[in-house]
Amino acid sequence: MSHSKRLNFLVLALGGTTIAFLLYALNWTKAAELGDLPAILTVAGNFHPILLHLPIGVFLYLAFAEAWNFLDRACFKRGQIKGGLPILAFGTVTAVLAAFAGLLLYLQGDYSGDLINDHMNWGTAFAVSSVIVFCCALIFSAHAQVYRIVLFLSIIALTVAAHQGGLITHGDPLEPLFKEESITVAAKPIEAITSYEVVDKIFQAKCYDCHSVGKKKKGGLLMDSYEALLAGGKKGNALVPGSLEASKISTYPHLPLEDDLHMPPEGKPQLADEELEFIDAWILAGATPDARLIDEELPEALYNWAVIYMETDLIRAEPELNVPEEKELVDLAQFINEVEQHATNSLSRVGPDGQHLVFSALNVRDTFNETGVEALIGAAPYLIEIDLSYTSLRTDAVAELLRETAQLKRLNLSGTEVDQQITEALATIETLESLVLFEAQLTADSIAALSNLTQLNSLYLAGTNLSLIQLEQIHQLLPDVEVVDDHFLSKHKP
Amino acid sequence: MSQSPLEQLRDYSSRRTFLKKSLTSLGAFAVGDLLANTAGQNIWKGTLENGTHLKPKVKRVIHLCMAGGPSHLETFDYKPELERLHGKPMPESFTKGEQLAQLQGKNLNIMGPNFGFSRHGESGMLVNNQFPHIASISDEIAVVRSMYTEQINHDPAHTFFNTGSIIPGRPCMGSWTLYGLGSTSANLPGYVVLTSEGGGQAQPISSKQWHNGFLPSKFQGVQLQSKGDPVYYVKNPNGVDRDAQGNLIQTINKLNHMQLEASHDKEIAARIAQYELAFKMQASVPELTDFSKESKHVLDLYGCTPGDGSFASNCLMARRLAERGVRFIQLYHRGWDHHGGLAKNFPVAANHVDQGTAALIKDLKMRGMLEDTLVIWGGEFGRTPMAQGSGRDHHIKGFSVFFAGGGIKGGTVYGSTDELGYSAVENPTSIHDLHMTMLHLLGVDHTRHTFRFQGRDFRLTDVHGKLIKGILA
Repeated sequence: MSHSKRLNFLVLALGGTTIAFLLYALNWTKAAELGDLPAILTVAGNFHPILLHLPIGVFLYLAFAEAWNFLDRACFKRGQIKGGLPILAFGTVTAVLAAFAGLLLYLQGDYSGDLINDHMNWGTAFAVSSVIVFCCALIFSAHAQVYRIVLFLSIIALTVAAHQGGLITHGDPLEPLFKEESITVAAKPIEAITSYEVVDKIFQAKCYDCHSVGKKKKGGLLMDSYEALLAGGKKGNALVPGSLEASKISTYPHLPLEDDLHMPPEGKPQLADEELEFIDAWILAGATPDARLIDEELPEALYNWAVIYMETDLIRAEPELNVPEEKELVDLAQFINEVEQHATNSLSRVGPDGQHLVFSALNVRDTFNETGVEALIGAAPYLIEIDLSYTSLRTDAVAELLRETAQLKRLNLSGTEVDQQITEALATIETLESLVLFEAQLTADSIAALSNLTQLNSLYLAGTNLSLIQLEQIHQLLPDVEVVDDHFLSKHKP
Repeated sequence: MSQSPLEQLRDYSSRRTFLKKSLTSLGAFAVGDLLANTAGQNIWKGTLENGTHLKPKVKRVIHLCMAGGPSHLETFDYKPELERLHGKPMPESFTKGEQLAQLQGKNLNIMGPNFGFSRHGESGMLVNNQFPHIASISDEIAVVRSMYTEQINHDPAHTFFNTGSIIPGRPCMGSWTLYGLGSTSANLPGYVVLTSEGGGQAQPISSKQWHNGFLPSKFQGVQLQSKGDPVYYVKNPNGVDRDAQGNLIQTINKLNHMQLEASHDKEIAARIAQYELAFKMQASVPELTDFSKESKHVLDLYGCTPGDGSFASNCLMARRLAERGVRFIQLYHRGWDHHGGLAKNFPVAANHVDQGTAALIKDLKMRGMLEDTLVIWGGEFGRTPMAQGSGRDHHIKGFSVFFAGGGIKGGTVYGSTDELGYSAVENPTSIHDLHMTMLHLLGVDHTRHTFRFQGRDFRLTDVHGKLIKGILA
């Protein structure tokens, strides 16, 4: 059978050449400089994603056919290889073409990292093995076992290469199976967070798929490190600190969505307004890798956004640290209803959770009486300010109200009578910062007691019946208190 | 205030018809929901009635608006270099391509400060000698020398100063304040405006400067007359006593209630409230304007006869309004537009304003009220370092404003202009920053204090506003 032998020789020679050429191309590609391919080769490389699916189908079919043959043989007689030869030839040719196209695609320079390196190795290995399978099918047509073994090996190479290719393009299909709540981010106090970390987190979520080591390097740009941003890509500078116009990480996202250069590309998750605003602010502030977030001069809203954006990780990492302590909120509305029956528009809630009350009798100076004070006593622990100026209340009622307060900061008793009961109650209010006694009528005992109010920041005594000597004494005994009396005017004459 | 957009639209559209139909001069502020009032609720409370965003430092604001634009170079911003170069041409590097008002295309020569400056107080603050009274309280005030604005003519600049927008029709800062914090006075409007003039050409001030824009109309400013009856027709006519007037109002309101039940028209409820507050004001306004209990040394402090229409009289009125729970008070003094005759007229304007301003701050201080009041003093812009004949032109790139009161660090000078007083160079401070800081001191977070109108959340500071930390205690 010399004809057959010559054919076998021809096939072996052709197969060997192909394999040698493939291996040479692989080595050459890995060492080659990336980018700047002739257009025709770029187009050829772009066909890799189409070509690669053809041998996958073919080889899986051949494996299926062998399984079929095995069952067939068990029941009848051995199956046929030769019927599969044309399709095997097709699979082998497309596998080799796909491998070459893949190498060309790599040469475009959009990919980098270990994964792509492995993918090239395994893809080439598969192309080589497909040639071997074809040769074996021809040469050892009488020994189907050989064919089956090499086919099996080639399918292993195929599976590995195809899985890696899939990882690069589409991510891990099995990820949902192994997904766990991310607990990798270490809890960081806000002082330790740099602005670049915020920016990097945005990039991780929206840009890494196409611009990071181990994934893709589209446009020759990596965005997974500060140095990579400064290095830029094929289209020019990605980051020029201080200049939005020169930094493509700002200009491209600002382009209209329809624009070909707009990033992230249409159809991919886009940057949120705040994310883009933050990136811009970072660039304008000088885009340093280590400036702390708290030191940046950011608009308050943007800063708050960034804090929340970064803290989502903290919450996931150590939830117990970030759940705010449940404060028991008191419903102060009941007090308002009750008190305002005696004094319209007199009680207001202030502070972030409305847990402080400010009382003023200014609308009812003539009519506010002891019954009203009694209604107010329930609210006293929450009062931080009381204005009873120019009311005519009994001093014991006022003193009782004052004794019930717990966090009073400011008290206005202008134009009222102030006696010892009141000053004694005042001495116990350590939170009191400001006491207004303008035009108040003070009893002799209470005047003496004023000197005990060392907790005050300011004390207003103008228009009172205090003598010059008494005032002088108070000034001396309360050196840290700003005492404002009638002499304020003479001290501030033009 | 959670109204649906439709309800807001109805309120907005019918407010205008309501004002048109309104017969009395009180119509502007008496809008409210009387039904809610009779049910024991207070119609004057604001959106933050269940708590403010921040701990408030002040309860009220008194804005002393020096309308016309006083020269910063003759008030708080002393420039020796300007003195040295008096009469010389302004270096082109300052003015090339700049927007100028009336000096556009004219010869630009430098005008040195017309009056001297002296150091005052413990801080040694430089204050122009035309303001001896204000100088005497220099330890109570914080001057920002680096303000800038965006509009170079009076009306738009006032609009920007009041609303944070150059587009007329936005709510002013007084309305924003009331919308959030409500009014503390049960018998007077929560936002009152008074005007005075003297010392220069009195440019008109339009009532849109205290307009509520798209906010509920009960929060707009109410102008009281500086002279004579502060509110027209506030007294009952001869032969009508308070009981008779009360009976009349009650009967009218009963009829209006019947109509309200039939039609559910909110503007009828508003009308009912209007009658009620007007009736209350018939009692509260005479008490407000009864100056007989003001002691002589207080009147001497202000140096005025109450109700004489002067700025000082308005300052005294401002203190009385503040005492009675009015939350936002604006006094406009129209007399600072010194395009010419600055050397002659500026001292006149200064004399009108100086004593009243200082008296108000001293008076508040004595009564312990300065520590929960924010006083803002300043014009809508400044004036050029370049001469316009014998005066100065409008100038927006740098001017001075001062603050006093709760949370303010007295004796502070913040920011600066360049050596010729042209541009704010150190800590440039915008009107938005002023608004943000004002709201901050009132306990309001400017980013959360919004109103949805025409599909957008509006706020006083739009998308701007930085805290002027340097002036805070």
